[in-house]
Order: sequence, then C-alpha cells, then structure tokens
Amino acid sequence: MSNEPTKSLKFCTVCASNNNRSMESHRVLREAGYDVSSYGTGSAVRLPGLSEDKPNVYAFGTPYNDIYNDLRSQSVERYRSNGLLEMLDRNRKLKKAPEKWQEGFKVFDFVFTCEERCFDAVCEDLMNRGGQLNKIVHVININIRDDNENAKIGSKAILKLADMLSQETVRCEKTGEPLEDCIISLLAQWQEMYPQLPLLYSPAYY
Amino acid sequence: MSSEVLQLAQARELAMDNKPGEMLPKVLDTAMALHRSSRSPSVELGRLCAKLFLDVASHEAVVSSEKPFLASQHLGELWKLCSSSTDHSTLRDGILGLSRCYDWLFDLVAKTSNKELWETLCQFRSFVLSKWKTVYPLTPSEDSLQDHSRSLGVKLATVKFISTLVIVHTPGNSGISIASVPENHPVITGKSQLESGAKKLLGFLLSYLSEEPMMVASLFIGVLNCLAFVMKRRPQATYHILGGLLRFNVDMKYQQNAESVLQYRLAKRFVERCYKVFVQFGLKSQLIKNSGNMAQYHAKLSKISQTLHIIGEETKAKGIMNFDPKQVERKMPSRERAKYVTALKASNQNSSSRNNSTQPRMSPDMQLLTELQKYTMSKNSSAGFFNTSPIAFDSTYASVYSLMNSKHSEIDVSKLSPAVMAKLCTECLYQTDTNKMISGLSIVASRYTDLMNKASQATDNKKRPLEADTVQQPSKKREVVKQPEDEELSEDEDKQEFTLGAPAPMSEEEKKQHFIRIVGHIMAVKDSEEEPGASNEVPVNMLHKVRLLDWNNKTSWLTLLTRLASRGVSHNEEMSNTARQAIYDYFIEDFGNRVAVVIEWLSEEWYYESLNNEKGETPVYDQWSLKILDALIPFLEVSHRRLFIRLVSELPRLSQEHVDKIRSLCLDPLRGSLGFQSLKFMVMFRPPVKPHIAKLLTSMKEQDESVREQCEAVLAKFY
Repeated sequence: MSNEPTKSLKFCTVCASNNNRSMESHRVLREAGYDVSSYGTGSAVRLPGLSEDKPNVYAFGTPYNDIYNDLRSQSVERYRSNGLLEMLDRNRKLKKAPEKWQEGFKVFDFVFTCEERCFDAVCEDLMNRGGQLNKIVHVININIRDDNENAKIGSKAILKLADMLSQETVRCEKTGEPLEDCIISLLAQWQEMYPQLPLLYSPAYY
Repeated sequence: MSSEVLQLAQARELAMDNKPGEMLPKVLDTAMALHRSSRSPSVELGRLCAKLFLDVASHEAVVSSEKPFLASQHLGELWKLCSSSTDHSTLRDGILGLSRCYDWLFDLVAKTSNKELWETLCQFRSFVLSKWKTVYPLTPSEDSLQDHSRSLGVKLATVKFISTLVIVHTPGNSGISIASVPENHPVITGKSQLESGAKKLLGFLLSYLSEEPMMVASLFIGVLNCLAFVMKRRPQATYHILGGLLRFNVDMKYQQNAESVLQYRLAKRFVERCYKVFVQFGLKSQLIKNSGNMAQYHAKLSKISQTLHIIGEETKAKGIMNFDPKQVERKMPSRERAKYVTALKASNQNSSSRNNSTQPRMSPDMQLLTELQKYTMSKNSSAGFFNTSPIAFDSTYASVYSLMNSKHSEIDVSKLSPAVMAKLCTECLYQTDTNKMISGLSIVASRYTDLMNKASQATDNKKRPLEADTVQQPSKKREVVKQPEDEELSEDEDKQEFTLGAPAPMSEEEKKQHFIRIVGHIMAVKDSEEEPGASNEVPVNMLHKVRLLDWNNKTSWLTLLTRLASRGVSHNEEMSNTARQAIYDYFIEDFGNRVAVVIEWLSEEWYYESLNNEKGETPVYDQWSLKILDALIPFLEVSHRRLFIRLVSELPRLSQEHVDKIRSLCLDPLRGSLGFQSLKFMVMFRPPVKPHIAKLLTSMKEQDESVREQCEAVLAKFY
C-alpha cells in the first residue's frame, strides 16, 4: 500500500478559536504535504489573559501578528511562560489570521473538529447552508483538550487518521470500492489505536 | 490512465487554481466531447467528466446565470455516462451533479418548454430512484442484509437527490418550486402527480429510518441531514418529518455479522449524536416550535435530545473502549434474518416481474397487502359468506374463523407490522355492514359451541377418578382446542395433571424489597412519556369524585405515594416510612421547585391522622414536618423568601416546636430578615400560631442582644 499522501484530498481542521488545536493540526498536516485549511467556530477568538476573569478577546480576522504584538505589549514574560507567544508565532507563519467556520466558503473532503461543541456547530451550520452544493463532506470529531501538550498529541492522532483516509482513498480509487463503505470500519481501527480520543462522525453535505 | 485523460485531469487542477470561472466550463466541454467521441470511454474519463460536471455546477466562480445552460448542454451526456457506467464514484458524482442542477433545469423546462430536456430529466430521475436501496453499480452479494451497508456513496447521493426532488416538487417560497409551473404547462404535465410523488418520496426517506433493520449509520445520518434541508426549505413538511423521526429507534437496529462490536458501538454513537444535532438545529432555527400542535413534538424531541446528550457524555466519561462486548452486541437472530431475507426475495421477484423500474422497492408489508388484496378481489363476487357451515373443519382458529373459504386463505397476516395490522382492522370494522358482521360472528360462535361440546364429551370419556374435581375448570376446557404445536407434547406429559404449587409466602425482607421497588416505580411515573387515556366522565356529585379520575403523570404519582404512605400501608410503620422517605428525598433534591409536593404530602398526613385521632394528635405529621424544617432551614437563602413563607403559611398545623425552628434563621446575621419576615407574616395571617411566636420572640430577645430591637418592634406592633 502506498504511503504517499494524495494531494487531491482537501482537509480542514476546526477548533473554537482557530489558535491552538486546529492550528497545531494545520501545521502537522501541512508539513506532511496535505492540502489543509483551518477554522474556529466560536463567536470570537478567546485567549487566556493576565487574570482568569479577563481573557483576551479578538474578532475573527484579527491578524495573528497583531494579536502577538498586543500580548507582547501586555506582558512578554507572562505570555512567553504560558506558551501563547510561541503559539502565535507559529500561527502567523502558517496563515494571516484566525478564520470563522461559518464565514468560510471553501469546500473540503474531510473536516476534523477538535471538540464536540465544534462538531455540533459544523454539522448544524452545514444543515443551515441547505446542502445547495450537493457535495459530500465527512465531518470527524476528535476530542482534544485545549492545552499545549494535548494539542500536540491530538495533531499527531489527526495526522495518523488523515494518512489512513488518504491511503484508503488511493486504494478505493484503484479497486473501485466505494470509500464511503470503508470509513466507519477505518474509524473503528483508529479508535482502537487512540482510545483516549473519543470519535464522532457524520457524512454531511455542502 | 491514458495521456488524454491525464492531460484533462491536469487541466482541471490548473483551472481550479487559475480563473476557474472561465477555465472549468472549457475543460468540461473538452472532457464531455472526448467522452462522446470515444467508442469505449475509460473509467477514468467517466469519473473525470462526472466530477467536472459537479465542479462547474457548484463552483462559485462560474457565473450563476450560465450554470443552467451549461448543465442543460451536458445533461444528456451525463445521463448516458451514468446509465452505462458501473463505476461507483462516477455514478455518485453524476447523481450529485444531477441533484445540484435539478432545480435550475426544472425551472428552465418550465420557462422554455424544452420537451427533450424534460424527457432526459425524467429518465435520469426514474433511473436513480429505481436504484435506491440496491447496491447498484456494485454486484449484489449472497448476504442481502450485508448489502444494506454497501454502495453507500451512491446511496448518500441518491438520498440527497430525493431530498432535492421533495423540495422542488413541493410548493414553497424558498427557491425554485413546482408552484411556479402553471397547471396547463405543455411539457410538465401531471403537476399534482409530481406533488403527491414528492410526499411519497419524503415518506420513503422517513420509512427508511424506521424500517431499515440494520445499523447503516452513514445512511441514517445522510437521511437526517437531508431531512434538515427539506425542513428548512419547505417548513410545511416539518410536522410529517418529526412524526417520522419519532418512529426512528436507533436501539432497534442490528449489527452486521461482519462488523466488530466496537464498530457497531461507534456507529450507534454517531447516529445518536446526529439525531441530537438535528433536533438542536430544528429548535434553534424555530422550525420545531413550542406552540400549537407541534408543542408535543417539541417536548418529546427536546427530551430525547437531552437524553442522547447524556448518553454520549457518559460513554465519553466511561471511556469509549470500556464496554462489555456481550452487552453491546446486537446481531439479528437467524430466524428473523431468514424471515426477512425471504420476504425481501419475494418482494424483489414480484417487483422484477412487474418490471416496475420507476418506483422504489416494495416493502414486505406492501407485498403482503398486495397479495391480500388480490385474494380478496377474487372472493368479492360472492355477496354473502362462502362458508356458512356451523361446524368447523378442524379445531384450529383458522377453521373457526374462515368464512370465505373452506379452511383458510394461506395468507399469514401476522407478518404485517403492528401499525399496518391495526389500520387494516380498524378500516375493516369501520367499513363492514353491522348485520353482516353479526351474522359472521354467529357462524363463528356456533362453531365454537360445537367444538366445546365435542371437547367436553371427549374429556368426560377420558376422565379419571382423581381428575373429577378439576376437569370442569375453564383452563382445562381451553386446552381442548389445541394449536397444532401442542400435539407435539409427549403422551406422558399430556396425561399428567399439572397444577402450579401455591407460592411460598414472602418473607419480611422480601416484602420490604418489593415495597421499595413499588415506590421506585411510582416515582418513575412522573418521568414517563406514556400518555394517559382521556376520561371525560364528570361526576354528578363532586363529593363522589374519584381523586385520580383524570390521570396525569406529572402529578398523580404524588397522590398515589402520599396515600400509600399515610393510609395504604399504615399497618406497617416501616413501609410507610419508606414511602415517606422517598417523598422527603425527592423534596430535598430540589427544594426550590418542590415546595408544593411537600405541602400536599404533609397535608395528607395531617388529615389522615386527625381523622383517626379524637384528641387531634398528629405524631407522624409532627415528626416529618419537623424533619423537613430541620433539613431545609440551614440551606435557606434570602432569595427563598416566597418559598419559605408559602411553606409556613400552608402547612396544616404549626406547634411551638415548629415555630422554634425559625430561631436559628432569625439569629443568623445574613438571613435574619427572612426569619423575621416569615414570623411577621404568620402573626398577621395565621392567628393560631401568634402565641407561639410571642414566646419565641421573648426568648430570643433575652438570648441575643443583636435581635432584641427587632423582636421588640414586632412585639410592640402586633401584641
């Protein structure tokens, strides 16, 4: 079986703020050669602030660079120690700004969400769009806790799943077997490898 | 892949990135032309053409006004491609492409009366619908149930296409619909048939959810998504959809033999989540309204959605791999499987013999109903009953009830689903002439009488001396009209007289356990979804009114439990206290919202005790009402003012001991105002407790300096 990823598949990663989990997965998938985009489903971009009750809130579309500079102006030491500056530095090298899922119009083959709330938001949004484009999209949720370490673990698990899906797509194209017939058994295989990351799945329509 | 197809694939990639609006239609033109000119086009070329058609139809860069014309230009070739190709992804993308442009093309035909285009569209539509529920373009396997989970890509595309047809063929304001087509349109004829066809198609989607026996998670989810689209675009269908959704029971779906338990568990989890998302979508978009006739659906679906959420959370918390495979596994029993497969084969044979390729496959119910209809029509010529013999052919139910034939019809209506059976029976009873019904039942009755006489004679002949006392019992008589299966019993077993031994008396411990279970069941009534039977009887004398004449799950459980605690088991204090403890626990769980419960209960206790005690002593009431106050007072906040005042004003009797419980509240610096407010309220509106309050105020005044002023103010004002 070929391990080469197929460029024809379009992936997307989604978390709440399009900063930590979706961006780490975005980086990992891109470095593995996949065509990938990322989004957030929250109402705004929320990042930890200097005190617990005062988070930093930005509108989607605010460049990562601006957020980076804003945090630096607040406290370099504090945001360096909690990893936010490092995270934003990574993000600004990947794309310009966090994007809101509900405002994106790109079409993907697979959407990986990183939290059940985001999965529900993506599925509900697709229902709201009305399925006008008539394109099938497979939405998969992998529950990842929103911290630095878990984002890294989760992104590796997403990469593994993307590899498995990609290889299966290549195999199905060769054999003529429908990819849709194999997805749930493939997800079950993956779930056995990562029992700590409970899955959700929905074949939906654009 | 041939070099031409490779070049076209590269051109597609290039067009996607550079001026897709201009380039994609050109690449589609070239690909379709190549396909048309090829004698035996390759699978890859077919795939590319179908994919390109869908790309052009759905790419935002292609000018919207041009899309209908581009689609109509290539529809013929796409139809040829799909009808001849056996490649799965070609057909899937082809159907999705057709679904994408169906409304535009429908509108185009409505405006231009293009007959050729309409015919192609109709042919294509019929072809796709005829393949619904088959594994086309794959080859069917030997296991027809396994096939339900195959060819899912095409099935997902077909389901989407069906939802598009429902939307376009149902009148509505959102987007293109049949409403814009005039009744006398020269090409789109049979407008009303298309509309009724749309209803049927929606029915197919809904019945798929309830009738499909296997767990086909992807397709169930696909259907749910499509139903959301229909609901959004044609809100008038919501009622029908929600009714169908409530018949969808995920727990009843069977696991495929070839799939692992984990896969089944995951599939179930996925469908449950999607169900929840669907309901949330409906609620948020105000399609499922909490008013009018829809309120019942609103309540039920909200509750289901909540339960599914809890199940999902529990699974997650417990660990997705932490399960007992034996408990989760749900494979179809072989007998049921064989029955289903036979019904399916018969249905398939029937449909293929009729060569009806335009309609989806007949359900087993429909198959049986058709046979029944044929049989009934054949008997329709005789005005009366064919078989009026007062003597049955043999001792089977079939012979006793056969009126239109000598024995029976060979049609097993027990195979019909309960819903269809009920409908059939009610319709029959409704339509039947009363006199004819009576004469039919008279014949049946005379056959019964005859069989009973014969049976009693036979038993008398066989009777042994020891059995003399028991043979007259109705149960013995019932055994005489035996079903054929009973005859398989061995001779010895048949002759032995079998009587059930008297049950052993329950021990005290068993009684207690049973009582706890009974209390649990009564408590569970409030959560029951079952609707009570309506009762319109109004007693003439209100004093004769039965307390529970109108049953209500939400309130009647309490009446039952309070009566049980106070009177039902008053002979056994321990049991009474078990019931009391259950009500007490229920109140303490959420005292903010359950004060009415405790008032009703304690009033009942007080009333029963007052009736039975001439001196008016109420020890049980006192014990439990004090216990309630002890438990409640430490947790009261100032915000509970209304709740507490209601409690102290509505409790049927307050002694000095009760009033003294408020002391701690009055002495609390933060909650003191609540204590004094309740005391003032009682002084004003509950004169019998006024002396108790005076005692309390006087004692508090002496005990604590900080409340002295407040106590004196109340004493001065009201005494």
